[in-house]
Amino acid sequence: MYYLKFHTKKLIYLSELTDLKIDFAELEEQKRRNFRERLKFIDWYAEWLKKTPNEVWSKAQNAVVEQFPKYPASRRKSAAIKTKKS
Amino acid sequence: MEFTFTEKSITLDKELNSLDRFTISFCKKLDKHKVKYCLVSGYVAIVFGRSRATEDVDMLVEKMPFEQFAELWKEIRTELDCMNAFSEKEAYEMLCDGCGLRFHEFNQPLPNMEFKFIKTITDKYTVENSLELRLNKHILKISPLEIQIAFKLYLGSEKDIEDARHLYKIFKDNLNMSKLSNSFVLLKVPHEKVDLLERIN
Repeated sequence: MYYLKFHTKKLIYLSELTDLKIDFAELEEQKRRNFRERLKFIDWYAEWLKKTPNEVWSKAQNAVVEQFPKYPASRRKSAAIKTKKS
Repeated sequence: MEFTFTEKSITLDKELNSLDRFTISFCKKLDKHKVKYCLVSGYVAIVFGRSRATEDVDMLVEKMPFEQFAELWKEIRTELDCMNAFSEKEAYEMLCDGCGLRFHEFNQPLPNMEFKFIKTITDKYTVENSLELRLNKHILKISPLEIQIAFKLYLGSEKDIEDARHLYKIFKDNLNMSKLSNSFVLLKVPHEKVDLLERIN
């Protein structure tokens, strides 16, 4: 019964999607507006950087840059040793 | 932002992140083997504060004989894995074919260093005229900013335009405007893209 309900809901959802009338001109304008907003942010941020001490802005930036979780150093080291042996 | 800018170098002291340390460590290996290189693209904007992450650091390297590459490969492979080549011979052939090698810490594919031989005339110009970045007393070679900005505009994606604008806004008072204009002409960057360095609409 759940299987039937789930797939019926999925079919209804899909048909609702295809009924939507996309205004591509509106979407394009939204895309352009978004890009303009991003350029304004670049300008604001560059001005903030120029008047902010290096230790302050670099700490803030590192929160963005340090996105990738580190594999534990000990596991990386053992992988390096395996490669050397092979 | 405090930095010292000369025609040949930029000195910057800041809190380093793991991307900086990865890049510094890799470049030290090239220096040890006297390999001429230049860091380009996203990292150049990020090291000067651009607020985004990157999966890779792009590097152009002067073509070297196989024997020299094999020594460098051995050194790199003691600490880093190569995503797309498994022997120095295969790696060298790929480089000569114009493909990039991707080096990364073991079991840590991100970030990775994309290592490519010089191919085009702009690659050659970039490496030969590289700027010295003194980053917390480490020396890195980076692309001249004028050609970097022009190339980013040439590439033209929104991210690239934002990178170009960031570098332009930070270094506007230091750039050689005549070199910048020449770079636009060299890369045939259209006026409407050059305008995006200043205007919003």
